[in-house]
Amino acid sequence: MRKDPVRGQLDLLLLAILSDGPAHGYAVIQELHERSNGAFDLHEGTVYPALHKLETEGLLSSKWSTAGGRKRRIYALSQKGRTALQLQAREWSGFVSAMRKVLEA
Amino acid sequence: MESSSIVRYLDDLRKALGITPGFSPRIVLEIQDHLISSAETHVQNGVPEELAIELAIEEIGSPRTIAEAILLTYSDESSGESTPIPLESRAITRRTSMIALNVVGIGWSAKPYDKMQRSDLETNLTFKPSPQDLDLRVIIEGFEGNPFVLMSDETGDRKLPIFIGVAEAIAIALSLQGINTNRPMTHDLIARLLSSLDDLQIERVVITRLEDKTFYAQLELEHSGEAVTVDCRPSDGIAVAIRLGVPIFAEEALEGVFIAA
Repeated sequence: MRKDPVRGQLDLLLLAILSDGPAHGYAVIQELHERSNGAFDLHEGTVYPALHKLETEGLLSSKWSTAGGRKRRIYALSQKGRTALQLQAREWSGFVSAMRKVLEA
Repeated sequence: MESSSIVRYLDDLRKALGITPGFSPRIVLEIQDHLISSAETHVQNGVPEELAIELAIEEIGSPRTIAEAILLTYSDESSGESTPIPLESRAITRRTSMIALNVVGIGWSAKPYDKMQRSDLETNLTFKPSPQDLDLRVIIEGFEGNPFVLMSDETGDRKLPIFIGVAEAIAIALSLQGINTNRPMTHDLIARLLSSLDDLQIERVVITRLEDKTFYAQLELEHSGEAVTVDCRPSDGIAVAIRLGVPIFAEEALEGVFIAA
């Protein structure tokens, strides 16, 4: 799959994955690979700026933890993030079903 | 698993971010953790270690890509270069969460900014907030290189050094050490101006953003009940703030450029 469509929806994908519980960046990326069967090919590094941005928007919160002697930033969905996820997921479903109706007509 | 390739990658990332070698703000620590975790996963899947590291680096993308995205995240998109921002909306929107800062001291780096190591932060810290004999010649002649003001958050864990001019370093050092000059210096004058007007109140100084290796700040004032912000260099803002006992903050969005403990 091309990268651009993923980038446009990266925020939504990250919120969706974090709705299952707090996780660090690498775990989020692994989960993204797994759920999409590797279809979403993205520069993994750009996930971190996206996480930072979602945090500055108040949709995520984050804190340090330690793993294997390394510092690790754990992200969690905020209430505001949960609301945003529901809203965006609904919009996306509407878009997809409208696309499908047109394409399959 | 720590390899020279990862070290080199992180150095490139720091360079692309415009931060000092050896400093590890949040984004650098996160990318480091990612690269090591990713390489470890590849090794578990049977990939030889050398190749695993190369794969991890390839998959994460170039340092430039990450740096551009992170700098975009922390730049103040609402502010144009010269267009003033509507003051009302700014005053309201920036009441979110900010990081309160303490001025730790004035340091001196004989090394150029891009050669400075993390350890230079503490060892070169010359002027701390305690009264002592201050010889101005020490500031002007006694050190090579550039002065920086070192700030920390309330816990002291996260530190923020900002390189400043010599005149501003002197102004901050004088005030930190409680030294009064015979005649009011420039920052004394600004402080006096601000405090001599009845309907003008300075609320705080806020370090707002980092753009193109330059930190931006603003004085937040209240004039006859209305919010007024004035663009300033962080050093000037700090010099004024410590004269008036006004709190200094950094936007929460700048968290990524702090140096973690």
